Amino acid sequence: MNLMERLPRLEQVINYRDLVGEYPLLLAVRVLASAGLLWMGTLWFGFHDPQQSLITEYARGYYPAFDPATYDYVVGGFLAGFGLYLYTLLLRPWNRLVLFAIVAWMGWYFFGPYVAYQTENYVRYADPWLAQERASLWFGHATMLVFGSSLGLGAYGIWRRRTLPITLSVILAIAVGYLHTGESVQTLEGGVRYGLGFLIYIELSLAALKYEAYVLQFQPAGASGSLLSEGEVGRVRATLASLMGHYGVHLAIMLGLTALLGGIILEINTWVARYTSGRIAESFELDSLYGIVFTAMVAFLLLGVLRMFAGPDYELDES
Amino acid sequence: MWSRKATALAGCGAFLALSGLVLLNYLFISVGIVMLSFLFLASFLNLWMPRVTIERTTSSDNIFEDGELEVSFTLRNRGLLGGFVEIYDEVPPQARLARGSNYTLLYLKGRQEVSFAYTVQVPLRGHYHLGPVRLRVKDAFDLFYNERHEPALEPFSVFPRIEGLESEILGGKNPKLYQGAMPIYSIGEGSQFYSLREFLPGDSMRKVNWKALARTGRMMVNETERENIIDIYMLLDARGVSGVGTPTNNPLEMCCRAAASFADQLLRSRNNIALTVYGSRTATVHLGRGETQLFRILTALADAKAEGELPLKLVIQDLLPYIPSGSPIILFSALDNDPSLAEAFTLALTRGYALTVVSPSSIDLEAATGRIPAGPETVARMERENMVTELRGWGVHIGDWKPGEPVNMALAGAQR
Repeated sequence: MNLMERLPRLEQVINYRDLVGEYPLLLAVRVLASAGLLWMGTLWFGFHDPQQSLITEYARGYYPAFDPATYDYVVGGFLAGFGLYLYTLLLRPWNRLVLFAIVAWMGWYFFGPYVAYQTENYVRYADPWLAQERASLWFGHATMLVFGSSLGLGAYGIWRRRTLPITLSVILAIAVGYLHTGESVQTLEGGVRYGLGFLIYIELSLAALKYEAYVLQFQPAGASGSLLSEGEVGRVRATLASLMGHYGVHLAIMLGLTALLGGIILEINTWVARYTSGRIAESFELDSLYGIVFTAMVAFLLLGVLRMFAGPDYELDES
Repeated sequence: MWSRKATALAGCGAFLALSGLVLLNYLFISVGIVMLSFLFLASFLNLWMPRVTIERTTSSDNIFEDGELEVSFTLRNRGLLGGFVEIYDEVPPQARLARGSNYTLLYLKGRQEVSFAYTVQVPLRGHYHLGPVRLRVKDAFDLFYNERHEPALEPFSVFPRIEGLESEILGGKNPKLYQGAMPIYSIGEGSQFYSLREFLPGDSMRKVNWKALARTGRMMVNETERENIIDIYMLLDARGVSGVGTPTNNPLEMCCRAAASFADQLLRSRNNIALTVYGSRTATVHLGRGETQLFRILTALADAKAEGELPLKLVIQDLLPYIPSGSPIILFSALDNDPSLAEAFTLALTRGYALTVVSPSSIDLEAATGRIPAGPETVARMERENMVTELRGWGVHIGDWKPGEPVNMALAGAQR
């Protein structure tokens, strides 16, 4: 038996079929959802600068040199989540081997200088401070992961096809926003863009999950492939294409309408103030954030009333 | 109706908008307002949801074990506009999906009609139903939906599997000789004239029709109509103890398959068959023949459940007054846990009934699950062998039937 034959096949090392999937459309949606997540993260954390966060203040108490680069953790967090997903694809014993290698490498990285210092009796070339410095550096990286955890969970949820991490990623993003200590911003260009970033991420990631669940029913539990014949796979592919085509059109139209409505609600106060003068233009209701929320509530009230009289109130013919 | 996603989105949007006010965070407010705008606009999509009617048909009302039942759906959108439709048809937990799926998600265009089908396999006999169907019409984002339960159930029965038997089961000692009753249009031993045919080597000279010989100058023999119709009584043991083993492989299931195979062959031979199932009570299918009788027997077999502990002696005592003398009785039982067996057999044999027993070995079923220690298993096997030998000594035809063997093996054992 030659060496090539003794090497394990790729499918014995990693369940790569889970990553690629059987339907290219689903892979495309997952990629789009990941792009949506990165966009949302970039917008959200671009606004909530980590340099002005309570987390950073706390971390600097222990490690004064802590300096989180603004966008590093967005990409880092995403890669950490995606890496975790890739790790779950590794099959036994390779996953154990990788875990062992990571633990061993980290042990050597942190404790290697100490061990060398202690074991070399005469030639004390090893520097114990190097270990301390490395530990401090890692403390900084680990703290940055707190900022990136939202992205990490989102990436893991999208690729691992789990709803809970996606939900947690949204909650964590809001929590990180809560810990922001920067100065309040009164005006902002294109606030709608931020909302749409959130919506696109939520919608695409949940749509990927929904359509994945639709095709998973044809796959036996625990198996990486389906039991369908080529003809049946073709029919499922056609159904998926139809469903996702209609979904895409609906999403584009709805996002357009949402941008329009959200933009009107957020900007109407500014327009009114611009075209009026005196007490109205300078009024608190138009100038402040309270005014925007008040306008939004009125707009939603009107929409609610309109909806009351517009539709059949979810009735279907009983057959 | 609101979905969980819509509720979460509404909660998140309101929380962000109000938190933004508290923290004076414009980003929170704008994200919250955009989320709520999306939700309010999506609620208007409900106005264009399709009006769907659904119709379900099945390929058959009854199937045999491991047979396939095809379920077809036709969906019609009576509305002008399209929408997303989700359908879930409940299938019995014992059923396996052979092809297609009982769940589907599709986009229905206005006035469109769509059909889809799935196939189920049910490995276990019994009475089942399909449905109810859950139909959900929803928007593209799963925010709002209308759900409807179609209460119409589609009942179907799964009959025990019938195996083709390679040899005739049995003949009665006393052929039934009702005068002019039940003509069976087949040639055989009997007293009624059926037709004339030319003499063949081996024919008895007593059958030669001398008048025909005189008239035609050729040797002709009389053929008679077959008259060996007999009344056969089948007894099926459905006591609780007969459920030992796995759901698909236990004495009761084996007995049901054997009884169905026996009934099929006996009815094809135009005999009269009756079936009594005893367990917690007795259920009887009275004497009858033909395909309708087979259907009745299969339905009764599909209905049999392992419960109760009615002794065989009581059942025999109840039945004997109604069984014509000399009729064969076939008992399908593992012969477990019934102290009245000896008395019951004595009762039947002393009155001249021909008794045949098809007995699946429950010890082998138990042994297959690995629940019996080696010692008690050996003792139980010896006890069973002794019982079988003793019953054969009494003149009972007994087929000792091992799990996994075809019904033919049981029949061969009974014919020894």
